[in-house]
Amino acid sequence: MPRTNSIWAETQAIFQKEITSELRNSTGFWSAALFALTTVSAIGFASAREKPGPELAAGILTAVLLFSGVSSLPRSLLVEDEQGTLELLRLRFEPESIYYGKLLFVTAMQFINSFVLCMLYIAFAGLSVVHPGILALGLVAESVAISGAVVLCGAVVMGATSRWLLVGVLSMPFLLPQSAACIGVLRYGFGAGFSETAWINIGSLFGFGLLGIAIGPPLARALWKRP
Amino acid sequence: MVFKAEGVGKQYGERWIFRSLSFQVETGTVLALTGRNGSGKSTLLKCISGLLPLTEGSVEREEPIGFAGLDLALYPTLSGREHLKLFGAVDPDKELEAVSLLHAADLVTSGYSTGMRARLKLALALSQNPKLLILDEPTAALDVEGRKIVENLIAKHRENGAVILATNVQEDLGYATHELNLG
Repeated sequence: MPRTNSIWAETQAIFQKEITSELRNSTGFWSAALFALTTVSAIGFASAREKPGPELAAGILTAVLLFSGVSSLPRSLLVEDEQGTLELLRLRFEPESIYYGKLLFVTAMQFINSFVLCMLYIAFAGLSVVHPGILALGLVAESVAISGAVVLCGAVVMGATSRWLLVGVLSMPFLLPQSAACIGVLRYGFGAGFSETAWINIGSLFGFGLLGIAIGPPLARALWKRP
Repeated sequence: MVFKAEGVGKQYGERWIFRSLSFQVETGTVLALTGRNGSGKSTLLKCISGLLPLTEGSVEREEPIGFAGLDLALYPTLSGREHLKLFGAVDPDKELEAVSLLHAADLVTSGYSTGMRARLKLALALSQNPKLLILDEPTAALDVEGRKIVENLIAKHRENGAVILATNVQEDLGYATHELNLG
């Protein structure tokens, strides 16, 4: 019986498996949604009398996106470790395919999460979006960047005792500069700052994402390749 | 030669689980690893399949391998058929039928009994069309019908491949061509 040997075919198989699992047991999705709804509602109540300016709005939204991502995204990798199914994947798939499949799924989840969070936040805080195109592109770039960092760090901490804590700690050095770039983009989307800075920040975020795409596969091979 | 181990050893902390083992397996061979609990049968199988690194020695094996481990976990939210699709099986139903599991094809594995899980793992291992089939206690959780299925599948598989299995079940030794006792 032939095996589907191309990395793309294997990545698709992992992605499909993640979607099916998530649809049947959407703990990750609902924990992110609950976090998002609680946070934006709280911000909405707090700023009912006074709308936050573009700078503050960008900062708050970035923090919300970051923490909802870090709290829900590692689950995709760490659950494999906890339920012992990583061995099953290692028997069938190349390490690069496992990594890319997870990364693709986590990026898609984070984009949906970011988009919904942003819409809710704009509605609750009564914000005006001055540059919607840049804002949307910023959300895509932010999703790629956060996912890259979280999946990379998730792969490193698999097998560790305090993996849930470690993944957050380890991803901080990646996430802090990403936060600064994300704030720069969102600020311009809400009407402050300069377009040149926004584009540089979008480039930086995609750069961080590419770092995860480039470093991840050799790391996954070193960690998961069957000798 | 389907599989060859040269001077393999595995150490946990100060303790050697096994050491200086050398053997090879040809087509048509069914090698049974025997020994008391804790003698390292399952660990050796994991090292052979590459799921655990060896402390010393080396192995050569023909890929792909089929591995069905006693403690190999399945996805609780995926069905038997979905597991086989994930493993790239062209005809999942045929694979499930071979282990008498077609009736539970759409049931998620959290609803499977231990014996059903063991059968699904065997189907997953065989779906890779492996030259080398590695089985850890393949009949431990099975009823009489399940044991007969395993015996038939092993007999069929050894026509073009080889099998290494860990067992403490006396009946399993009946279809083994060689035995390696780990103590």
